[in-house]
Amino acid sequence: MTDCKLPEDLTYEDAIKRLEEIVTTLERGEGSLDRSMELFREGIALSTFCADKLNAMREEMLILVDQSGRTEPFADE
Amino acid sequence: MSGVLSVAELNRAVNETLTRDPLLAKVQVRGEISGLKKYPSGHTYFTLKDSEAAVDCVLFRGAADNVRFELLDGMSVVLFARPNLYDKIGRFQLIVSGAREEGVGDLYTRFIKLKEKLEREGLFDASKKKPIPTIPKRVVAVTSSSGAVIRDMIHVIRRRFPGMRLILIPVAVQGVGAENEIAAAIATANRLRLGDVIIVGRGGGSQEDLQPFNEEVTARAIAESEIPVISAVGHETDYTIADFVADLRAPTPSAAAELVVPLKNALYERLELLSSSLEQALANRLESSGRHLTHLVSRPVLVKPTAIVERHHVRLALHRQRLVNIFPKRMTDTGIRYERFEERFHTAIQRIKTNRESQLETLTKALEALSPLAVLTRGYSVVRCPTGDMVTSASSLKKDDLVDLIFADGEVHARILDSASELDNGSSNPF
Repeated sequence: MTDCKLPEDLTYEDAIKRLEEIVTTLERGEGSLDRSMELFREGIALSTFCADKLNAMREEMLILVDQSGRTEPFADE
Repeated sequence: MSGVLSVAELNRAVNETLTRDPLLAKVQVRGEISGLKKYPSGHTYFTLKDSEAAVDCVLFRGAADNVRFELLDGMSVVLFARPNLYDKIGRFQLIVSGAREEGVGDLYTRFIKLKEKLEREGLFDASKKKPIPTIPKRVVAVTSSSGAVIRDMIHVIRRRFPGMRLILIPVAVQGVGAENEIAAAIATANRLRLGDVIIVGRGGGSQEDLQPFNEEVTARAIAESEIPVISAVGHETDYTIADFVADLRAPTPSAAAELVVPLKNALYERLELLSSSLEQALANRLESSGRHLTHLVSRPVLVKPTAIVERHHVRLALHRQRLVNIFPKRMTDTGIRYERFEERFHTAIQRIKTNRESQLETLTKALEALSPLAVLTRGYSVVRCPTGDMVTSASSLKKDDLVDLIFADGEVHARILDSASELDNGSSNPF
């Protein structure tokens, strides 16, 4: 299966929206088989992208300590 | 003796200082009225005092119309005034330009007025509301760094979305100048691009405690923020001005955290559902294509190519059958026609035969009439040469020629005795 190029500036929201479109199109069973395979590959790429986005986030709790933007970890306990 | 001032110079200098100082040029002072005196000139003099201090006040006739209610001793008011030194006697006083009654009712009036003003300016327009990101990259919290509010928010955020990032801009959320801190924090978040959503709020409190969120400066900072702002002032029922201006209103800071931070598990579930739908949709598509192919392959032409020929055979047989079915009918038709023809033929033959027979009879009769035999019976005879030729002329016979004489009942041989002698007129015709 060949890789599917996703836009550089793709956001999670756009990726999910596009994935929903693809699923709807595929479920309607329209278009050629080749086109369906193409859409499927794109859908897989989008799904992977979204999962990566969710998994990649790492918690960070900060407090702004001055107006220049200096921060410190915020100890909330 | 420079540095030594006249009393007038001193008072004038103090007055100038008071006028120049932007903080003192126009002040609002809260206090209670006492020693009120109205003069026929239209000027009103009184003292404003609280538990600790007192200040003389004058309401000149020209400004009296700005005060819509009757000033009375003991009344709690906020004065709009300009500090001044009455230089003739060196007495510090407030020149009053307006006043309002102090109390809850008054706060409400202010609230309504500011709300109407900002609404007219379009700060509450739905078209101005910015969308809240589905998954914030970082949440900016503008609230107090102490107390339960920020801790509750962090708790909610961690529970809903492990891995979410937050930055707190600590501010005073009540008391003097709190609104300025809040406004500055919102501006800083925008300037430093600290996140993609701002939650500004505090826990519940008295109407006075919530006042910073009803101030114009707070409202304007929220309206000018390019980062979407969620207001979360801790009271369930009443709205603050901040609530109207914000892109989204939450009843409490914890509720704001709930609104802003999605449930990570729900996102995973949605994603898994979509992924499995995607696979199922393709599987269905492939299966339907496969079914179509199977269907095509199982069509008789492909399974049994001879079927094409067979079909022709069948058609041929059909045609033959039709011919067979048709033929006897044709035969019958033809038979009937033949029989008719035969009949007509026989009739015709019969007619011809009959005709011929009667013709023959006639002819026979005619022949019979002409028969030499019939003539001979009447007494004539025929002379014939031995060659068989009829002798029709006497001159053809010579002496001693042998002839046959034919009678009706037979013939006899005869010999000519002498040559011929001519008959009357030389005619050989006896008749």
